[in-house]
Amino acid sequence: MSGTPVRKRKRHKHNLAGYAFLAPWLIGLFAFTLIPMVYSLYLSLTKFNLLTAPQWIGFENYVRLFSDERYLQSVRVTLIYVVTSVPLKLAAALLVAVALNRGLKALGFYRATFYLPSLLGASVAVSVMWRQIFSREGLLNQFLGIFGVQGSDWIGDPRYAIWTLVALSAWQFGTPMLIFLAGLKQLPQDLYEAAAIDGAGKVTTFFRITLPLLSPMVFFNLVLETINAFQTFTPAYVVSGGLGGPIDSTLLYTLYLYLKGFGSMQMGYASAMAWVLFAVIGLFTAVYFWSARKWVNYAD
Amino acid sequence: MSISRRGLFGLAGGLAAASVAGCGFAPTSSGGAASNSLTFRWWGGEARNKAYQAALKIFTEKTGIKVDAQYSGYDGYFNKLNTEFAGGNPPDIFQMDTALVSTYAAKGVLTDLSSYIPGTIHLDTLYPAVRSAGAVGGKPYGVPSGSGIAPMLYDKTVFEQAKIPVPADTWTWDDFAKLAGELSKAMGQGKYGSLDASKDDSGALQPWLRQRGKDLYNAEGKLAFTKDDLAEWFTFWDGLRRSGAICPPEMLSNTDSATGNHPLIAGQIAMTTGWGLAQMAPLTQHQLDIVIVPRGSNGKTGQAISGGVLLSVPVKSKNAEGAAKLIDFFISDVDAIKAMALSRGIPPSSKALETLTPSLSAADKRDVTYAQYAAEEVAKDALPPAPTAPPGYNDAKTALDAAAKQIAFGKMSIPDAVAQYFRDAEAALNGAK
Repeated sequence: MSGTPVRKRKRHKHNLAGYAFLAPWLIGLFAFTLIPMVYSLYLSLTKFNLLTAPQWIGFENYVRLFSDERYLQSVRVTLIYVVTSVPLKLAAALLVAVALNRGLKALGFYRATFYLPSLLGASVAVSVMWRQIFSREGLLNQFLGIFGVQGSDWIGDPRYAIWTLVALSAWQFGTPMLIFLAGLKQLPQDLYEAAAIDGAGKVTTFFRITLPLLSPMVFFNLVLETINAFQTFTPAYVVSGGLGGPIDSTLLYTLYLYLKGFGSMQMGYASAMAWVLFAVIGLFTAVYFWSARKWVNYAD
Repeated sequence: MSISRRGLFGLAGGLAAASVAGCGFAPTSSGGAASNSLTFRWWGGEARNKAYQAALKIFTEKTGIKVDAQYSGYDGYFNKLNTEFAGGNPPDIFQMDTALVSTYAAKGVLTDLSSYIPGTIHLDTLYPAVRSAGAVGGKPYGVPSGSGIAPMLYDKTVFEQAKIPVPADTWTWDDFAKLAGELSKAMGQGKYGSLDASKDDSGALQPWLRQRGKDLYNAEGKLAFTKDDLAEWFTFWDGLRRSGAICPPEMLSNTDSATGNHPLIAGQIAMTTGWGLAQMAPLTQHQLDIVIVPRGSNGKTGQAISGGVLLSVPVKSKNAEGAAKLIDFFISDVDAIKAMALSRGIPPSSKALETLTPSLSAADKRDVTYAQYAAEEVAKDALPPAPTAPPGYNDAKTALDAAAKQIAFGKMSIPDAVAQYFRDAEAALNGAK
């Protein structure tokens, strides 16, 4: 292990250069991620109204969470959103990826077209457009009107409002689609040839060959999209006009966190919410990794 | 090739020296700039933004103080401001909501403007009733720029088409209920006599309470009405909702008078409480008008005068002297009064009224004559003035909105919603202390 003193010093110098090059990233990590995180952990144990100094109150914020009905409502809304939007988005992504992977001529064009909604991503413009489409006098109801169907006010009705957000999320399937498409291109063709000789149909081939071989990609997308879904903010903020309405039916977790922290100026409480979310996302990810051993097949 | 330790430290030393030099230089540059410039933040629609910019141009010409104008809509305005206050970097002067001034004053982030009155700010130009609109605990933390009494807005054209006489100034809540029902029938399917105002705290619930000798809040910042009062209020609106006289709750998701995204503009309703005649009148072919909010059975209006919007100066303002000058400019300078016209409410002084009267548009004139009439009626009420909205007001207001909508969507019974409101509103008012 231990070299001569000269070599040691050389290695040290060598490392120093490495750290120097890493410095911009390291400074960013400490200044914008780690230190704020530690500070927010401290704030979560205080009462802090943004304008006067934080007061230490221990775990009171965390205890209060569980008797706050609006908080519990935001948890319910978020779970419904995550559990429905993630599978829908991945299914759409996989479906389109498989459809595009059949040697289409203008593949580049289609790929770009399907990816476009994701590029626009969580932008405000798309959310505003969504609000227009699903409002009482919106595009959807005008379209339904052609067939004599009187559509309801999708944004204004608490029974439907959250589903417009789920639909928005599913529509933005571009990123997982690209990853699936890249995965599909890597699959060994000889397996398909063998399956075809054995007389396997398209459906059997998909479920017995494509899906198992693609499972690492499914896993990767599942983890990423779940984390994203838990953190969704912009669409709920814009579509509901900033308040998570009607009657808190679109009050996603981060939106309530924002309203508490910056609207009601309860930054200590909002920090506690952030740490609970962090723990829950960690838990979901851990469960995914634990279960992955049972259903993810790596080629090697 | 690698960087030697000496080289690295040399580099770091150079950086440190540069940053020290930067610090040494900074005060002179920002100090020099501060006396000559201001950052000024407001919220508003397009008309107000244009008016402010025209006025600020005149201000710069007259005083040589440059103003960096920053503006947005009301949504998110205070959230952004809170973040800047927290970061110790608020604007030098900003537009303040009358209902929120006590919340901010209680946290000690606003400048007590006493020392600028009457030297720089000539507060005595304003009507006596308006002067104290920005006062908290007797100290001025904001100066009003307009006054007003929230009316009921209605669509005159719809009334004429339905051959129903427009509401009289003497109308009561019973008259309102009857009118709304008749209008709903006359207007046809999918259209309603009135917007659901059960959630409107200052425009509807407050006058209704004051007509009964109560109020939203008392001087100690507690709720000044009982659960029975609120249950009666919600029951009144629930009856109207069930009979189809007022709109279903889905329609309440789009009621922004500043952008014209409002059921009154869309022709879906004929009456609504609240401001906005001047903003909404140009957006529809129909003729709009205003009338005083329905009276109590004792004939009282119960209305409370609002100071419109205020201008406040943060404690951390880099140029409080300049900010005070700008505040006075808006209330004293004839050119500024002309530029702003009614974009921030009804003229708050006889000086402003006399300056503006010759050039007012028809809708503006209607606003002014209504305001004068309403002010006289409020004086006849002989009720104590409404206390300033207490700290925590905004969350209490949100709680009323939530409770009213829970009932409207049929998710909660009236007693449950009332209980929820009292729990949430009391927590908000106590927690803000």
